[in-house]
Amino acid sequence: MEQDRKRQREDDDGYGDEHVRPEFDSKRARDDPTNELISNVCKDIRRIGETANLHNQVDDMSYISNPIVVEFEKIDRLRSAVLSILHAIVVEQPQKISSLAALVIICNAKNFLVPKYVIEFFHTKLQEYVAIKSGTDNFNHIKNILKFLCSLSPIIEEGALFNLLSQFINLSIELGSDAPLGRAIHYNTLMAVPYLLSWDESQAEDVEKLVSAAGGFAHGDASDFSLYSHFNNKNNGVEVPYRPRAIVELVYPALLEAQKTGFASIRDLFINYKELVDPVVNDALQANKISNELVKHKLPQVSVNTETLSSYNPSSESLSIDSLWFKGPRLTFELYSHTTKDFPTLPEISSYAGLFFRDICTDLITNLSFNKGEASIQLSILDLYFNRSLFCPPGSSVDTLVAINNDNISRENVPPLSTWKVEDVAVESLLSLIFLTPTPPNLEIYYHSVLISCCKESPEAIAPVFGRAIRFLYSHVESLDFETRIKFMDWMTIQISNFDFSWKWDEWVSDSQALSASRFHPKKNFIRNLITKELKLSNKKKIKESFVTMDPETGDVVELDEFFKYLDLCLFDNDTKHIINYDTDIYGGDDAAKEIIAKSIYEKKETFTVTTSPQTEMFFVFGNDQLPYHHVCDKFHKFLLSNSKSKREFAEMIEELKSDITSDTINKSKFIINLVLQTYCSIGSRSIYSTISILTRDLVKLKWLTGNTLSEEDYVGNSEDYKFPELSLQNEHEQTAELQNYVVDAVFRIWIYRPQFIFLILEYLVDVKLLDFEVFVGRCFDLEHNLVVDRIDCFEALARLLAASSKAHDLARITVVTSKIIENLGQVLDKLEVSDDAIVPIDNYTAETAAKNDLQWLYYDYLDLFKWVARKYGTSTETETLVDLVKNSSLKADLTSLSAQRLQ
Amino acid sequence: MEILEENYQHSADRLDKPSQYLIKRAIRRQDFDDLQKALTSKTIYVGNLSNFTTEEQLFELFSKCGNIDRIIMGLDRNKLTPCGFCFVIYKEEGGSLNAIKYLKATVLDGQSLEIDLDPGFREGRQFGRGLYGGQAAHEGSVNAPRGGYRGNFRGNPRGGFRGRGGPNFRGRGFFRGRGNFRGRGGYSGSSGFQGGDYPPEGPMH
Repeated sequence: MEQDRKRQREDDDGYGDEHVRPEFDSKRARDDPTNELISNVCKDIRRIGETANLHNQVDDMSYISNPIVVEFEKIDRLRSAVLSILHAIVVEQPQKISSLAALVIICNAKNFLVPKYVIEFFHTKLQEYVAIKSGTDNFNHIKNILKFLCSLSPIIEEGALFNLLSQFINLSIELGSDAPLGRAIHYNTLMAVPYLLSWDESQAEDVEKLVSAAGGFAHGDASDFSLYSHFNNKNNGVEVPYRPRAIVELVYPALLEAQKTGFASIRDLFINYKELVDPVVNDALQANKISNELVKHKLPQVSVNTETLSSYNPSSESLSIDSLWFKGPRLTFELYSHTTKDFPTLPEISSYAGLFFRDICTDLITNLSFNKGEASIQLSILDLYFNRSLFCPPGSSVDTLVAINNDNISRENVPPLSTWKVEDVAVESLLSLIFLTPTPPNLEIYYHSVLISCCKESPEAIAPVFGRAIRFLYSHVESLDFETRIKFMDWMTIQISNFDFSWKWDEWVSDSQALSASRFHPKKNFIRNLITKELKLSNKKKIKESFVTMDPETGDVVELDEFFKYLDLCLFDNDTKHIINYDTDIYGGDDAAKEIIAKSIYEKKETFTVTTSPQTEMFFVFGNDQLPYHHVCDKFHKFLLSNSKSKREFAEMIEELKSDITSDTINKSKFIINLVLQTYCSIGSRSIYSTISILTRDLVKLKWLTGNTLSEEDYVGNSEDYKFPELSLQNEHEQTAELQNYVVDAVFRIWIYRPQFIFLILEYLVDVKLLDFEVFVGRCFDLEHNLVVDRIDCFEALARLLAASSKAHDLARITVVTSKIIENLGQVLDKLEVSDDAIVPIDNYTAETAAKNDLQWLYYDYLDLFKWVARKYGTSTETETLVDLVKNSSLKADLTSLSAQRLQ
Repeated sequence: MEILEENYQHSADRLDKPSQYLIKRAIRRQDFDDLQKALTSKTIYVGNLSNFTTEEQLFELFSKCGNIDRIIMGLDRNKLTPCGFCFVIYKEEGGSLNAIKYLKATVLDGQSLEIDLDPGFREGRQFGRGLYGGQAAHEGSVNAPRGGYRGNFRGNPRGGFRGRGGPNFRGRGFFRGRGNFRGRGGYSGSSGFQGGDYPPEGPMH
């Protein structure tokens, strides 16, 4: 009961609500009125612009400005806290920039020293970032600071902003479009310039001049982005929804377009704070005892050293937007603009408005990654920070939009009402970050969790938006890049796993039925691996229960048994036959043994149900007491179960096993490696980490047994003064590779029904250098099974291993993979009997041509895998030599072009 | 303690810090070592698991935040069966900070996960310290609602802050009361959140 009392006390403490902002700080703050004031002022600034009613918002701003203008000079801590929080909001939540500017403009009327400090502070920051004294996201921060300063244009001396912006435009021209930084500054500055119009149109002339100056930026002529694109047409074999464009190419034309209408479309993006704030400012000026005139502040240029700039390379820091310019071409990702035909549900990406929202969302999502909850809140109230007529009411359904559009066409709505959905803008921005190539700035799970948070808060409004995205991606899955397809799978799995795995599976029944004979059709592959991933987060029973639909006539719940077959995760088709053949082979092909093995497996399989545990599913042949040499197997089992044995004892045990096996037909090495590895897996079958911990215990012994050359390092920290003898096998390369393949076979066999276990164990064995990476890759890319394409677990293990070796600057492994891919592409071409000057077509699927069709898809999947490795890790000279040897001209051209596209 | 001080470097609170449970415990004991350790720890505590959740399921979810070294399932000390919590040990510190930022309140097997930084696993902590062998906090809260939706971020009833026009503190239709400075904003609302079966008393030493 002590526990209960203790628990009670914890509750009384007010514990239990960690999702509320910690009260602890404010409790302490109450001890000191200054702290309390600072805390409250900063809290209010953080929430600026979040009120729906604009009049209240401006009243609030005026109210918040009071303690600031009074205490700003007197309390140093308040000043530094306010400046710090302003900077944080400007770079982390750029959607609030106009609202913050309005606050500062109000402060200016009450006490002009406040904005003086603010502008000087931001100028100092600008200077620091340009001089690359600190930070890893300097130029993206500069963009947001420029946006903020532009929004303060009414209180900055005329011409100052123009000069500052011109400086950056000239800098981008000087650096040129070949330099990633040149592109970044060109885009960043042009994104900031229109903020000069956020207050009023008085600066329109300056904007025009700046835009025309930016025309001097010579754009590169890169137009082939196939290495980075999300959709590819597979040599015109499939249709792509759109052609990707680099955002840096879009911003200048977008501004020219806006200029045609006097920038009206840009001015309409912003809330008209001027009309609301001007009365407050006038009142304040009249009451101001020092000056009744509006004070304007100086803003000098920054000093730039072009040499320092050219050394700036944020690539090593992955968590920055700047680094995106250095890693890839920053392509557009478009989704919702292709889901409705008659009207747009979000601004066209090539317009300034489209870029504007995408830019704000990207910054906000990336920079708020320390608080997923805040990120999802800000995204869902994004429309509050902009002109209120830009978006349709939040949560509007597509049907409502259709009605709005009809009324717009029939001129019932004058002026026409917007069909833009704020949810579409937010979700598309998140998805574009998930799918960003080569690597998103944050971990994908962060974006997933923000999407989940958005959906949990208002499922009715968000769920249909997700549904449209899923349907769009699924309908284009044939052209979807391989890695993007897997990312789509990842998102969809975690998304529906948070919502009880509910999905309208009935929509996919016909596809699954039609493709029953196919293995590698992207749709089939997608459905199968999606279900595999679901199973990894849940269990068969639960997932089986999710395959239901409602009969529209009777209203009854109907099971969709079409999907039941995907619950069987067995690594190979025809599992029973595979097991019987494999095990009989271990026992030397003995017919009597075969009969015993077959009988026991048939008996065992009869007991399988959806709730059978992995341990029960395990079919451990060496435990069968009717088979020959059972006493040998049993002896080894007991040997392993007893306390840790010494290396000497282990070596002696292996010798003993060898001499025990007298049959000539049995391959002893194969038998023993299978016995050893399968016994380890069986003893550790409770979980992956039980297996791994027991394997770790005996790692050196197993390395010896599997033909690895042991180094001094392997014996370090060992009290036992014993060195393993030369393994009594010829230790030539060929032989070792054979032993290593036995290891893979043994793991494949024992966990045949659980590919997840197989690849985690193999990944571990590669990681600890027991299993040769090349052998592992050989099996992943084995053309008989194509596991890397076929099995999500295999791809994931390979991806983790490659990421780890790239981190450790071990690039040899990357070459191993690219070489293997090129080899496979050649072999698939041979199988397809494609002549050297032809391309691989994609034929329409029929059950009769399924096998050929599979090879065609497989060809493009391997090509996508090449892209995946090349864009993430680059290609080596060895790979390029291999590319030169490719016979098929189309493949050679593709591979050469892909290798050349990577930004170095 | 630096981490307890507000520094206004960010526009919102960081989630990758120890929970109020750990902070309060440290203050109560005037011992900040564990708190310091937790900040650089590769280990996280995960609570509110279903008793049927397996290591492999946890691996699938938590490996999205970093490479995992090991997962240690919390066990009922009498029955040696899983009892609703586990420790995930990452190979690098970044993994545990990512997990606490991104996976809190994620649903696994129908349960909304509780995650906290952990000063580090020590042998023995995998066993529940409850009266009956399970996790103390679980046993002590049989009447507390479990398994339902508990991940609402501001302690609001479902539909919370974007109820648009409802009595919520941000977003549409909300008029922020004015008076003295302290009363403004109304964002100290702590109602609604049901304390459930956390903090993790069981595994803590």
